[in-house]
Amino acid sequence: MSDELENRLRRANPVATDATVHPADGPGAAILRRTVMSTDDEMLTGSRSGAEPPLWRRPVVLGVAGAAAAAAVVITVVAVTSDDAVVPTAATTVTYDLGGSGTVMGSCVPFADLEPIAGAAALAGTVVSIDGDIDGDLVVLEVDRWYASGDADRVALRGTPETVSLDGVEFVVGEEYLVTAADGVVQPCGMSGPASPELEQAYDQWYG
Amino acid sequence: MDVSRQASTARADRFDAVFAEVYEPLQRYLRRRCRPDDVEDLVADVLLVVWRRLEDVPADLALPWCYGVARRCVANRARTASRALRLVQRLAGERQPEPPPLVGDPALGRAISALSPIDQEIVRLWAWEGLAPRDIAAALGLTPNAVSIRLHRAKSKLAAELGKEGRGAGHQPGEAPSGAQSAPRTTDATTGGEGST
Repeated sequence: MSDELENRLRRANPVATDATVHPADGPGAAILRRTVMSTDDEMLTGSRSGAEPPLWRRPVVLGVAGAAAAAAVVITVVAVTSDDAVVPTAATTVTYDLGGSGTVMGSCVPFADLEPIAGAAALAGTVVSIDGDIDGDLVVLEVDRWYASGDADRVALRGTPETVSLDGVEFVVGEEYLVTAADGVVQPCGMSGPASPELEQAYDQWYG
Repeated sequence: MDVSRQASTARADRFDAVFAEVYEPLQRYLRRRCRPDDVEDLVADVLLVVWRRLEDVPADLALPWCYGVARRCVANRARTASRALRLVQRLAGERQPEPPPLVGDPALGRAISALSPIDQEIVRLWAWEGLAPRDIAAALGLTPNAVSIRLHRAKSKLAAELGKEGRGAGHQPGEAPSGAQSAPRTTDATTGGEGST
């Protein structure tokens, strides 16, 4: 089946591998090359699509812990608009890293064998925004409930291009997630994920 | 020639080399995932990032690295669409422009859509760009081991989905779909292809 599937996938390729494109040694490429090389960083910052404003809805794969990072608590001014009026209010935000690589899929212990991490922060929160550019992603959750070690109003989860996926767990604006973080890094392998009765029960047992 | 001029020349030479390597396959990558009108702009976006971050471009994985940048540029392009479009996308739960439909194989399209977005991209990079797991890992920021595991699972899932469809509609898995392109590539995707390094 594997060969058949592979052939079928390739037959369905919307653009053949040898499809004609603008050649790298053509005049158009030469103009583009010169234009790019004459563009300085300041211009890049203002023009490249990677610097565009935040997205509203973008799933981001939950990262695997591994990179050392410290949580940072900051004060954030939240702009609330109503009838075009901007009313600034203060909200505390704590930032955790989604981490880099380090845990290989399949090495997680079974969910039933998970144990709470001493001193870890644990919370339930609803995703209110997902921002990102080519350098990484920032997921902001409004905290619905702190289970342990925290009292901030919001939690920001920062990912990097090197973020390793964890079984396709994704963030979606408007949905609730349970997050455990230790030493400023979100804990994967079943410790964090979309809210579910099973995970909520576990959090109650671990941190209640 | 002074030192700074030498460094500038070396940087330009390096960019020329990366440009020559990625310019054509990058166009195909984007044509597979975006509307034709967006391809030229997105190619330029990616190459601007290459120029800005040239020191970060891995010497032996330049093309996969560029695919990774392109993937993010495509996602960013979707965000900057009109407010109305964003609202529609939000309601529809989409995050990227609708890619071109698979050629003549709607059953396969449905099966791929059932995969997670990251697994969809792994399958495409493997089957269409011809990347090996190591290269896919570089493009997506995963470990090669994770890519291999995900790819294996994704293929099993696709086979199962297509098997179900085939049993339901009398279409056998692997049967040549109507309207399919001519002969498939013969290059082994696990060892080489358009994007192999």
